[in-house]
Amino acid sequence: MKDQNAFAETASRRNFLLGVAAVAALPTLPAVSLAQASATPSPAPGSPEALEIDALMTIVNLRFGSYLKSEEVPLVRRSIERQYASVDTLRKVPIHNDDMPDLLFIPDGR
Amino acid sequence: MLSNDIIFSSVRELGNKIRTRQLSSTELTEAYLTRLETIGPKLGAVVTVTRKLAMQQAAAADKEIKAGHYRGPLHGIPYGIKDAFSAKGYPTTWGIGPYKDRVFDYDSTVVTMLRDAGAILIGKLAMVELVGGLGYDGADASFTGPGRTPWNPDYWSGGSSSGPGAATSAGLVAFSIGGETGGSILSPSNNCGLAGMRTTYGRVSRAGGVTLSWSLDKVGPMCRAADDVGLVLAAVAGYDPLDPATVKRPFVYTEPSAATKRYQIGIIKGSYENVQPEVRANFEQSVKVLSEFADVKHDVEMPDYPYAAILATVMGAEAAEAFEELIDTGQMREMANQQDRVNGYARKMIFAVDYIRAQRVRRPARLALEKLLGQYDAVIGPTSGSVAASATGTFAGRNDPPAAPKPGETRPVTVALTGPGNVAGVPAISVPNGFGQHGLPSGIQFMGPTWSEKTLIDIAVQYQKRTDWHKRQPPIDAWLKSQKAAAGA
Repeated sequence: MKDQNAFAETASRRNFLLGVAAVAALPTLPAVSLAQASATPSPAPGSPEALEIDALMTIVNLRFGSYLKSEEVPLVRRSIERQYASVDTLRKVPIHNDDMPDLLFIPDGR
Repeated sequence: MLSNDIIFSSVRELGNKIRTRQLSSTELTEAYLTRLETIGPKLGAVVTVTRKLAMQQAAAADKEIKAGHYRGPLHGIPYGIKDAFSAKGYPTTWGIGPYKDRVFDYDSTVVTMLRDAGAILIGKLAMVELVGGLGYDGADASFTGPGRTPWNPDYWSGGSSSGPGAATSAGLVAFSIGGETGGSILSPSNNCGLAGMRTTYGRVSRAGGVTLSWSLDKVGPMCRAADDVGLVLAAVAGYDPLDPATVKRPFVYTEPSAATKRYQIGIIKGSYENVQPEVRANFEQSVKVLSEFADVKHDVEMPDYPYAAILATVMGAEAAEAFEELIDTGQMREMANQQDRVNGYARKMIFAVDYIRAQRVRRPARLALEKLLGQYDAVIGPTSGSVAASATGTFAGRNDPPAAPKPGETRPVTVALTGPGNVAGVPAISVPNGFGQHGLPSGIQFMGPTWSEKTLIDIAVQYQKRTDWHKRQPPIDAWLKSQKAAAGA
């Protein structure tokens, strides 16, 4: 049951992002997709991971595109790819439903 | 003019001279101020010199001491603080141009506590912009320019506490205060040959300091001797109602005279085997020294968790919120470093569920590390696998997690202590243990369970009683002369 829920969440989120990518315009960001040489390879073009990153880049463009120079766009993308890799690593760590985050709400705290 | 032997003395030695009135605070403060004003900018170590305040505080200290009101070992001792912390009436820049003229009308708690201890604030020290939380990729990441280690100013002083590292090592202050989220005290301590301590999360108040990550930020002393770390920490540790993370847990420090027991020390497997050859040799020599007063166990396994991924995700998400105004208004364009100009936008693409996932994975990782640390007085490894990087260019690949090995592929893995320690919020101290390439220092790191600062300092002091790396003085005077000659040629 736990695995099914996890898959459902991932699939749902990916579908949403693909939808965002499909409808969003690209008024500001140039269509550059260079990845810096580094230890973590960029996802293959057209792969689900690359499409998800494309969608995130679309949001970046909508919200912050006017602040970015064309040569900075690949740096943003590479940064998102790194984040994606980190999150992907975290998703593979087995934890249980009742494993709580290392955050504590203190009702009488200030 | 004070001799270099006095300038580079430990806090304890300076304090004894001031207490017995062999040296006045005014005289010492003037000497450090002059060095901070003249050498500080050349090392990219200083933002603001607080001369007027410093001379007032020094005169008051001398007057009090003469009247018999001695406050303790920091009374009359000049120090500098990372420009992440506010000092009433002086600019607090967080290392970025847009805030170069911003002034708060209150002191940070750590400044208040040091003032109460009688210490003299002589400068706000340089730092990596926004505490390095946006993934900078070069030493240029500060509006004051690269911080330079006085051991070889062509190389970086480390970050994000770049100014505290350079200034303390170069004898521009007697000690300094830094902050650490993912390595910002230990890195400059390594690069500058200092005794620097990342304290337990909640040990020292962060109130009045910049927030990069509420769940990761820590504060700690950076000194020339491990014993001084204890003296400074005793003055700044404690509960503060302005920082909910702090606890009512006393920290009492007395100088250890001799090892009262044989310490139990574990060497983290993979921490030193594949680092720079000189760093490895220095570490192995350090282990021999430690064996004189400790039982040292080899091949201690670090619990297997993705610490770097936890840090990156937690820090990234919290930084995006902490600096949201700068990101949303486009002021990130004014950052000095190319990655800092853009990474904020990427950080805002971290989903809440991914942040919570990281915090959920963090808990078993923290508990596993705490269980391991509970078996030892300290676990050790090189503070860094290499000596300082160049002060120019980029740290190629620094921000990239390593790619997964291909099926059947084996490769040497270096297990760092700093990332896991920050994830778990446990203390660690780095002290110098030799020199490597380009005349640059290396460091050894001692990490222990929560609230074990006293034990870690005791071990580091015992190590320094048997070595003299911390007593060496960087060749800064020779470098200044060569700079002057080059300028005149």
